[in-house]
Amino acid sequence: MQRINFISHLFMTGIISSFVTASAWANVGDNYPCLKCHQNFSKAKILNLTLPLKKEHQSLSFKHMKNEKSCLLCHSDNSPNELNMLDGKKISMSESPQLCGQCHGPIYFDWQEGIHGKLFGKGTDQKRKFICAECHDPHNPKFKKMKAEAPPTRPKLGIAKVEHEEKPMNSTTTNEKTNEVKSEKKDHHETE
Amino acid sequence: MKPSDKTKGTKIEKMTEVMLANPVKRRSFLKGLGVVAAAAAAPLGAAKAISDKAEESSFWETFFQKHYKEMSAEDKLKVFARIERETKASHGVEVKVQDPQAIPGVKYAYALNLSRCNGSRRCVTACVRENNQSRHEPEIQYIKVIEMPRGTMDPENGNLYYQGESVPNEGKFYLPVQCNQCNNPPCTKVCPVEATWKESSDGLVVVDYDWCIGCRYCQAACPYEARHFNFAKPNITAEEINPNQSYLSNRLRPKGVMEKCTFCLHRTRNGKNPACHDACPTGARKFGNIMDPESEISKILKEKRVFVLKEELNTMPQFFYYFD
Amino acid sequence: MILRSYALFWMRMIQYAAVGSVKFYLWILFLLALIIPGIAAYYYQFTHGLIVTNLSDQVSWGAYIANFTFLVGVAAGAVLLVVPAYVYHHKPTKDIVIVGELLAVAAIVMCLLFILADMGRPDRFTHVLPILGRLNFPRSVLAWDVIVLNGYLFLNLHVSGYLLFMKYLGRTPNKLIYLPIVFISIFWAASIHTVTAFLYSGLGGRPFWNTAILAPRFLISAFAGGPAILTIAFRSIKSCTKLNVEEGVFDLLKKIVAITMPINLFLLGCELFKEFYTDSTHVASAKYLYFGLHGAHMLTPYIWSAIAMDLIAMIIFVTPRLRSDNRIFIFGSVLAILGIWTEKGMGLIIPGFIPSPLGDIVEYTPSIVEFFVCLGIWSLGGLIFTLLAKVAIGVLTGDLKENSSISSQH
Repeated sequence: MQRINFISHLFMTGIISSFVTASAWANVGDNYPCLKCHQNFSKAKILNLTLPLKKEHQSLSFKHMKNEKSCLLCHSDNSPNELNMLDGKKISMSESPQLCGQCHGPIYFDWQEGIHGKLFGKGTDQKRKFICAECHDPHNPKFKKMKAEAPPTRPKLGIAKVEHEEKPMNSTTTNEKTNEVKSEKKDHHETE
Repeated sequence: MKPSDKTKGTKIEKMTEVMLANPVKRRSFLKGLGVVAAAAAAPLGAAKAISDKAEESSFWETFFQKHYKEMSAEDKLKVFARIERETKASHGVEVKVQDPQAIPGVKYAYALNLSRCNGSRRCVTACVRENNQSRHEPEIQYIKVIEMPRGTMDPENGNLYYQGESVPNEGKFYLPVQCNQCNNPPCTKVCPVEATWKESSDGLVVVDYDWCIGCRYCQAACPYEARHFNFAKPNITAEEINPNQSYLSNRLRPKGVMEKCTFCLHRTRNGKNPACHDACPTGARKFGNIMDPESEISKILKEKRVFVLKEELNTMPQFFYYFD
Repeated sequence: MILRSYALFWMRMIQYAAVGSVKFYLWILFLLALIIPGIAAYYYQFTHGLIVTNLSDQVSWGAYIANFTFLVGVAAGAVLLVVPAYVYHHKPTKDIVIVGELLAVAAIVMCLLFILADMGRPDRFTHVLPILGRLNFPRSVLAWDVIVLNGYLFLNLHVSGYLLFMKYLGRTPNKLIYLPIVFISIFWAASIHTVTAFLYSGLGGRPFWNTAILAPRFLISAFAGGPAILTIAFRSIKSCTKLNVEEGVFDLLKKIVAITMPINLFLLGCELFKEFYTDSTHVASAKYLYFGLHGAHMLTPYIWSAIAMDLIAMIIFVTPRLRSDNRIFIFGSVLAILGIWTEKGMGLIIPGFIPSPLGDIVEYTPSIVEFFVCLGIWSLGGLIFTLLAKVAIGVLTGDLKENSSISSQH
């Protein structure tokens, strides 16, 4: 019994820990409570955006389409609970995958087929599909790097491979001891 | 008196005389016998030695145990009870050893998205926990993650022992390798006693740990390093044991036998995913039933450009890789 | 009646084998001094598991299988005496061929012991037997090996046992009982080594072994190393026992090895060309063996020494002035044995595992336990051969006869 709990805890921790703002997106279909603060909604306020943001928005980090400065590309200027498609159509938060799919077409297609990303569920065929924002922070979607588990123990007569002579083709060789990458390309880029 | 009788009596008499008369001869004869006796006694003494107190009574049970495919339902129940008893005696843990049958109409395959794997090795550790592998001396891990430089698919250029303070490391991609449950497995072909075979139903390649003689020919034959040998009695603590076991997958193994990944047979035949699949933090792993056209694995095989490792060996792996 | 004689024959054989000169006892004591630590070492391995060896998941086979491979060749080499003796009625060979067959018996026993020593579960050896076990014949080459090796053992035991018993009784042996078996054993000898080669050459995942030339290389090295071993064995027998080993035997062995050793080196050359000229990724194992790979180079001094020894031995074997000198020829034989043992044993088995199929490099050298177990088994083989040869020589020289040394009753 304890073991089952432990494993399921580990399972959930492993998933949740990789999502920075997971808690904010835990409930599918529920609107982000923008109206809680923005009761007197003003378009002007958004257009005159200055950084740093007000403290309620401090947790947001922006690293998505770095040259794009306008929030209104995705967010609707009518209501904070809506999103903008490129053709002007307004959609709800729970329909957000359509929005992401405008640029991320192949991934959207995969997601519709059910073959994108992590699918949870008891069985091999009973999986719940998550929407994009449930795993990817839309303002900073790229997954963070993580610490890998420990490497296997090298057998007692194991040898750490050292760099060897040139290989043909555009291949790179790895020096196991220093993790140094050496490229054989013409435009030589030494990573010392 | 017949001449033969006279001869007989005299012959033996004479021989005894000769033997008694020559003390050197007798001594050396007895010495020779002594050596032979000692040499014969040693293995018997050793046989006694390897049986722990807990395993003493089961030594003969195991000696006469049949091959899994020849066991009746009763035989199996006795065997599973023995294993549970042995685990309780050696580790003090109550476990359940079952024998889940293949789900009809199911054949398993695995796909791995190499664009997503970040080399976290969460799959490796989840697998070790799930399948009760020896933690040290020997350290057995069914999954090996190779850190590869760009521009090559040859594992010789890769590094199995990479440190990952923050993965993925710059300029690398990660190639996890485990048993491919090949359709044309070289390992099952070479086993001299058929201790390993491919289940005809769902395609899993399994090992009967109580039948294996530990010759390691299968390990020499496997092109993917998927077979692992228990060089000593597996080192696993009571807390580390996963009690949900099955005979052909994660029951505790004895010393001197082979083991391998079985796509978590005890989970998959009960409708769940393998432990590695669920542990992957980036969703790089896809698993399912290729007989079902709506399963994610079937769709991946249809839509993605998949490849297998060492295809020229014609092992027909059921583990497919693709980039996104 | 015949059963009684046979039982007495056994009693007398044991008695005859246990008695000898001081030199004989010293030799037996020397062997025992090596066997007993071997037994102790094996006991240690049996109780602790193969972790006491330097084997690993990456290098699955080591000293035990290397010695096994070499000894199968030694056993097959006996055919070089059997063919001249029984097919061509070459008299010098005919006189001593039984001792050669007994050398094959000792070699096969050593092979079986090495296999037992290498198994993770020797207590489950019954699994390869019919009825009690489940032999994967004909798919597994190892299953074939189990059959052919044990078959060869029984063939040789049958022929030598029958002929010795008949000589002991003073009767003419019945050709029908032994000659067909002899002819079978001639082809069987080639098959034991071919099957052993097929163990390795059939594995696609090991490109170092996956070559058609492996079985021919095995047979030729057996026929190059075999005469070397037979020369040394029979020179010892000639000087230490009453058995009359005519020079004709040694002349024949010299002729054989003058052809087979050059062919052995030629086939090695063929393998080297294919590896290094093609220079595909599969050359990695050969590179490891001859030049070192990624900083690992444990075996390079051994393989180059082996090739040097083989070359020197070949020069001795083909040069008339050198080969006619018996002492130089014996020296050449020793070099040939060491060279072929290295090249075919450790120099073939270990590089097959380096690099591993996933590019890992794990080297291997025998551990102390393995060393003593190997030494123990070799010494046990020596002991078995000594005792068998002693008895056989006793019978062949007429020392051990049914009615000898008892009385003058008849």
